[in-house]
Amino acid sequence: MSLRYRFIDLESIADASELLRTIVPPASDMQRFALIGQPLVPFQRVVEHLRGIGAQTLLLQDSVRDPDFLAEHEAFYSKQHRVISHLCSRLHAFAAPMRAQVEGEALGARAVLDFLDNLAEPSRQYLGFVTFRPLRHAPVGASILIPAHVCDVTCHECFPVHIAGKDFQVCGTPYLQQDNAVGACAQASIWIALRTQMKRVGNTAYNPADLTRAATRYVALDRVFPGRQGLVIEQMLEAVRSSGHDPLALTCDPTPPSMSPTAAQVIEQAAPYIESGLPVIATLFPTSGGHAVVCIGRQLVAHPAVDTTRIVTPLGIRYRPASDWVDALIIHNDNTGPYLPITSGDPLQKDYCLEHAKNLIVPLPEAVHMTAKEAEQAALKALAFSCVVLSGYDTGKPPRLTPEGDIVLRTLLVRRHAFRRWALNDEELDPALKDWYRTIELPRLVWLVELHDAALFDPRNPGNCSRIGEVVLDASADTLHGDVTLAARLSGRVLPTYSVPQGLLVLDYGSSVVLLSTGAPGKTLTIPWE
Amino acid sequence: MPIIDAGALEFVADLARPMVKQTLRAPGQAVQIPEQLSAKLNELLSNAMLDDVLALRERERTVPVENLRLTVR
Repeated sequence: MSLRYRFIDLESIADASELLRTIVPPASDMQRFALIGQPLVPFQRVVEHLRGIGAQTLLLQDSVRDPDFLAEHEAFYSKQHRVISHLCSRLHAFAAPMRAQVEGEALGARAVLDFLDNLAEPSRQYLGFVTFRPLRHAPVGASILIPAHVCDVTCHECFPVHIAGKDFQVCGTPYLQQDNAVGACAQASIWIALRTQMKRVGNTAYNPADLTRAATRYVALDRVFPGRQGLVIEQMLEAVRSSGHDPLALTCDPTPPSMSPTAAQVIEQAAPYIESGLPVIATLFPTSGGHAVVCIGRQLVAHPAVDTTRIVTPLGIRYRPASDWVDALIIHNDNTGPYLPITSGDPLQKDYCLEHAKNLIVPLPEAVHMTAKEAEQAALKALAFSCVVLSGYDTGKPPRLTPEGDIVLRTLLVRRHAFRRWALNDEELDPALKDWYRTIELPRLVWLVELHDAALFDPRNPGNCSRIGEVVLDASADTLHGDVTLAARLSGRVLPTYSVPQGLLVLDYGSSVVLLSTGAPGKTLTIPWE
Repeated sequence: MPIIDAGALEFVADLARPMVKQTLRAPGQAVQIPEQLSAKLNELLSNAMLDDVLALRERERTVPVENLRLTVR
């Protein structure tokens, strides 16, 4: 049996083509394909990313039975006359420098094991893996690499990796290049979104072939395999639904309809889900044709990128969403590469930009009946209710529906346990409030709408204290026909010219109230999932 | 729709008075909001926001059928 592992010194590799020559056998199909200049854009981007995250040593593992490729092979390649291997290669990336190459198989194996066994701080040195399918048109298979900027990427998960008996872990967002014989960008996007949530939701690991079959179960507009014709959005929703998620489909079409939505509108719609760690599939329609990408993070800026301040007319509340502080989304694009920014651009050009967005599809966990925007609307109503009750403590002034300053709303879907843990650990929370939040009855998932003082808000700094209240909403409630507000807390700072208590908590759908002794601004909740 | 003016909230002061006194005596404890106050205030706010609620549903959730048949690849 030959040695399955081989070191590659990334420092000594000049470019993606050289790395490809090092990985695949000389004169192979894939190599010829690369050498005649066919674009291998995702592969090139992966190599750039490996350098960006500080990879120095690559450990190439041969004869990998990758479950996703095995399923693709079974669905399509096993039925072809020409033999296509079912085995993949896998590149493991390490930040540690490479040891000197050792000649001879026994010595080589020893060197690999010594490297793995003697890694100092293995959790910091291991940067993830890239799977290589034996396919010249789509080499990058199921891969997980850490992001270059951890703070930007909110939709990620930690996955265990086992190499030669050693346990490693990689925290990142799974990535896959579309193999358009088995599934196009739609399936790749759904795969990325579902695989990221698999551990949290406890789902099966759906592979691209499963997703293609699920998508075409009821609406097949052409052959199932090869699936180069792509999917219609209706089929994508069916694939998401069959995986046990609720496919929330949002339209990006502006009102009144015009040529395309603005980047700020798309960011605002996607941001609450991305903040919640939920990947958002965006369908883009440039003039060259429809494409799907997965939004997995956002780039925050110190000062608002846009000003979308608005006043809710009947209530008079002046507010802006936290997405004003976002200038780009981070996407996994199966045909260009992982962890790429998408920003505002010219919708008439072929380069993907936010203005190309037509729909957003969010694979929600079960029993989230309220959208983020509906939650925001309900929170504004709860804010008005609480303001009136709070202002009632100053009998010398008329009751007020609105805070006196500008408010920033940061909306995210939070798991009950994460909310309680945040309450336990937040140092600025009033002690009585802490106790209430830790003990009140809550559904499995809540929409948390944080209310921030716009003058203090800086989302880039999680230690910044600008939160002057929050509204906790039942995510399973129906905003149109039901009580939704579980708790609403306001600091007395929202009414600085009124003589009111330090803070007030309204509980149980507006049926009881608790006076709080502190109202100091607090931090944001940063971990919505456990 | 015009902004709700303070006159529409005149009922609050009288109804809230006993609750305000009770909470000041027992900070940290839950005190019942008078049912009439809660109901009237909720009704006022819900009615004021109904158009917005319906408009949001229409704007956000109505994915045109022709969009559902768009192909991505």
